[in-house]
Amino acid sequence: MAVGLPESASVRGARALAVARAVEKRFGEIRAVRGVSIELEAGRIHAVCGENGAGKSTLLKVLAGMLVPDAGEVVVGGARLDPHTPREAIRRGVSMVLQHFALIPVFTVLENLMLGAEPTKRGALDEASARARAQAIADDLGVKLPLDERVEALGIGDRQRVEIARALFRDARLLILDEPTAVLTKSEATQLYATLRRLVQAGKGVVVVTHKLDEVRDHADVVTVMRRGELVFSRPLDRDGDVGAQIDAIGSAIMGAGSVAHARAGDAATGAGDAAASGGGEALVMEGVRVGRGLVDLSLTLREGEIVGVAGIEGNGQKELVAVLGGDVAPDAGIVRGGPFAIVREDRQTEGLVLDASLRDNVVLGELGRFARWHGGIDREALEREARARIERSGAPTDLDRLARTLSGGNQQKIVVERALSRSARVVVAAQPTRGVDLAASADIHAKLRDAAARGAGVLVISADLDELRKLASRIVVLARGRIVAELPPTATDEEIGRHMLGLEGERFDGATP
Amino acid sequence: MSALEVIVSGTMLAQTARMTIPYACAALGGVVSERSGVVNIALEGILLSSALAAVAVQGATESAAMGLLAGVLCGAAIGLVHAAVVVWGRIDAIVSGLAINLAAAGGTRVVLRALYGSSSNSPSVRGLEPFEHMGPLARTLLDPFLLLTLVSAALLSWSLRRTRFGLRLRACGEDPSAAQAVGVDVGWTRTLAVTIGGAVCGLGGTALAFELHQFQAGMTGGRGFIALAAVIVARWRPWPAVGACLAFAALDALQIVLQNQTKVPSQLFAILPFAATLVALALVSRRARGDARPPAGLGKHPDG
Repeated sequence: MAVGLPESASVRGARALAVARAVEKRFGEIRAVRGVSIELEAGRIHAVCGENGAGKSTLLKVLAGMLVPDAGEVVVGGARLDPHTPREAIRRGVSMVLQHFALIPVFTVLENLMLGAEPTKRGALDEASARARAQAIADDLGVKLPLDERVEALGIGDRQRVEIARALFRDARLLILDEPTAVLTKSEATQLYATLRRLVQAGKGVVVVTHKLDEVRDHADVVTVMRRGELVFSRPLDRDGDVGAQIDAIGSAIMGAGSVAHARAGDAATGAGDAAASGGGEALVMEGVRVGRGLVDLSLTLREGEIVGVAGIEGNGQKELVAVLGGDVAPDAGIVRGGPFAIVREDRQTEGLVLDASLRDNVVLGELGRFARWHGGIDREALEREARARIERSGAPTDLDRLARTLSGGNQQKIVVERALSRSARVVVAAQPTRGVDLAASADIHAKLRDAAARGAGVLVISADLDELRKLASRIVVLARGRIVAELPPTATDEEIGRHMLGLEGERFDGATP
Repeated sequence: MSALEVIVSGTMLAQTARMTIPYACAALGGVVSERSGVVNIALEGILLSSALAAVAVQGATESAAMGLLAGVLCGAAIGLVHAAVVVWGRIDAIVSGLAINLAAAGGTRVVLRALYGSSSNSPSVRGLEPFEHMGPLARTLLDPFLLLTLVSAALLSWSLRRTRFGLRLRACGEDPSAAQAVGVDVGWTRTLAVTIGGAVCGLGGTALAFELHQFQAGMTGGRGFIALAAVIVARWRPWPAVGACLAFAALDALQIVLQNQTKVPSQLFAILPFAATLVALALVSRRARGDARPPAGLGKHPDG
């Protein structure tokens, strides 16, 4: 397989358990992975880092046979992966443990371990040999596996160990874990890495997808950084050198270099927001809000006429924040005061629009009561007038009979934003308002949000795009692990914001997490 | 003889056992199908079709064994059709089951008229009675259908728990996507499960026809649906399903005796087994949160 490769590559290739060459993967119009080449080797803990949507999980799912690449080559166990299925990848020793476990809750641990790789004897399951094998794996891992317990009775950490044991039951030589510590407590995470270290010492390869830099600092041997579908770099961590500096470099690579310039560019626009903010009363006050496990202790004040940006890595409470402000859930504790609210939800296709309904219906969705007449019928003329006015303001195509499905993402989003802003709300919450939207439409949507603030509404923008937050907001708060961990001016650099997002400066908050 | 003497008599026991067989076979067929994740309300149609197939083939070949084989194969074939439509065609299982039941109700009449020129019943056949010279109780206990039913229950129960196929079948019923992710071929596993279920159910239809020595239009009288209720009451486990069917059959046999022995309007007693079924279902669904739950992947397809 090494023919034609540079020598260094062929020498390393000898240890490579899985190789991607110029792999490309698209989902619709989004290029999730753009021509990435990577080698995954035995005997190392390899951390793959990047923001949400950077393409790390997609790349590794391609390597594990779960996604078929649109271009490029995947070599597993020395030969091209064919057929490109998880079954074949598993057969060749590559197993991936996903974030949501694929265990069967009512099965015992032993049954889950066996499923798909059952030893049999004279037509029946050979439970004794499966048990012996499971025990040997547990011993190798240095963990206890309650083999006869049903999986549903186990905690998250145990379930994860069962998933890892299951991969080893199938003779996995390369184990890929997708954000394995996202669901674990700090001590469980430490245990997990101890287990992974044992595997690596036994000659297995381990790949961990993570965006927690403290874990990278403490446990990784090799680090790969991805950003916007591209591989930024892939190199070993030099433990003898200045680890802190290397971690900082990884942090900036994750956030993207040269973003200081962007910060300056946003200044002009944010000035207006500042001025309005100083005079406004409180539009929204949140104090000590707790929602499930997502929001732990969130306090936030939003003034009239002010735009506040919420930065943070996805999964740190953004969903719960929108849910509680949108009235989907009541807070378990704390106070939420303010409103009325207008919410631009994150997923316009499932939460924002009825795709198979007309633009007319979509743009007044949820407000039919306004057009009701005394006998219960709808005042169609008034509805038509209002819908037309809104569509024209929105900048989307003005054919009212068109189905929402037929619009581009940008135009769909314009409709969602226009509808939210038409309800003279005092608090506007926009979650990822320009995700997957082209530049021109983004500019339109930003202008509308600024207008809303200028008319006196408090605007909360939740976004993964720091440039967007800097452009819009007069201050940026960082949401991490369910609370606001920092408040920064819009001039803050990516590195500054990133350190808070990644929890590098958030250690002091750890103690209070239940 | 007083009512009580009749109830505890061997005849009554024999009758209960014989009445249990069609219910139990259909329920076992339902268990194996639904444990693999395929909803099966087609049991009624399978019972009816295989009853006719058994009678027709025995009539034509003069061989009870061939009749039995035909009944079982007919059940398997309909099971296969149901699986093909639901698993590969991804048609809703309720719709497919309903279609099979309606087609069986109409189709058996058409075949009946074509073969025998009657729209109500076939000429009588001999059935399968190897122990005619023995007493009613011994004859019943050695009845091949009873033995086959018990063997089926034992085999199904054991293989669900102790074989590779059983483990995979249950995995398909619990979480088809997870099963697929570890390399289980969900489509084929389910197809095989529903086909086997159809065959067992076909055994029940054959037993019903041979018991009456003829085929009568609509002779199943809702037994397939009662069997479905038994599956639910038994929480999708083979032996408890047989037990639930036995209880139902015992009540049914009892009400026949009571009808003959008392002056109370017979219709009131006829309600008894069905009322009991309703009560049992209500009680079971109240404790549905307990240990035994329906298969979590029932009616779900794997991703992709």
